[in-house]
Amino acid sequence: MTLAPSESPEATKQEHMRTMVNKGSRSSHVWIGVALVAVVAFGVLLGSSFAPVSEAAAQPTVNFSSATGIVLNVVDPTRTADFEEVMKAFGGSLVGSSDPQRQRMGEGLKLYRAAEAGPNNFALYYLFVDPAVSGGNYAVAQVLADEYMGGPPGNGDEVRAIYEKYSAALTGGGQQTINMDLMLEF
Amino acid sequence: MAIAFVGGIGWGAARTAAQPGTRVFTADVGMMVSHVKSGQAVAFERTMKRVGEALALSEEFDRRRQAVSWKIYKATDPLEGGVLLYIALLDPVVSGADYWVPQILNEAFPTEVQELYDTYAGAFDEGQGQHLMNLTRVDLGLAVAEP
Repeated sequence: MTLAPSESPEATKQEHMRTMVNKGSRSSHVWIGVALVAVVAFGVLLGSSFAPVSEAAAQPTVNFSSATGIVLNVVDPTRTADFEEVMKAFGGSLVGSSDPQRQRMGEGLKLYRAAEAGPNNFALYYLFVDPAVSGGNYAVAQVLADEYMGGPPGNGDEVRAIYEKYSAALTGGGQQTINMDLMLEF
Repeated sequence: MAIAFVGGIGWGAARTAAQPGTRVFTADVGMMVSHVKSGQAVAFERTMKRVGEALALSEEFDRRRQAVSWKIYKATDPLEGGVLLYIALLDPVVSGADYWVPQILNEAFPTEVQELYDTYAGAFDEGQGQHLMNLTRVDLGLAVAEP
């Protein structure tokens, strides 16, 4: 995807400066035409911390070393209902756990879906973990194995079924975990 | 495997964001992903604090409402090239409100706005800049009271 010239950072900055110089006005109109901070690049690389499905779905431990965590899930667009079902089971398993730590983990979860599709029309889901519970293991597969439908040993079939949905939903996509700290709250 | 964190956030959102003078979200929740140059953290954060002051000073009710649901997070680890990642979560969005930072600053601090703008604009990584995203909440069915 190529930015139109008027949307490129340099062009918009120059356009802005021209506007400021020519008009010399402090009115809101001086901002017209400035799009520097809204530049969209289709493909912003964050590096190698992205886990493909084979690792993302099966990873045994997901910890956050910060006060807040965000997990980006890139989901097969034909399996969004399955993914949401899994995430509801994940959240429900946490808040329904007899383990106080897991209850607190569940209380901090919020899931958002991007209105616009991602690459290859995949759906983008952002799981906000705020606050992240220090030392808590947020691995979906592990939590489901431990807690879903009353936990082991009676939940084997149910866990396998829901894990398959989770894994299939992330096929072709994957998952990325980011440690965040609250910088500012107005 | 390297993949875009916000790649493909949607061309529709991008066009909306690029329209002059307005940053209006169309969904109930908004997210602004900002990529800030290494060494510009203080400048960016100082500017955003001024945004908070501007919203608090505003006589417009909606401006003050914007402040209530505006949180800014910073990634603990820099990205490739030392780029710093900031994510602002706006939950809920104030419907129809303009979230364009320079405009907010201009309303409250017209005599300082040029300097504030230069500081703000100069803080962004030129290759990645800022992305706006429209989000919808997924009800997880948790029996937890919303804050």
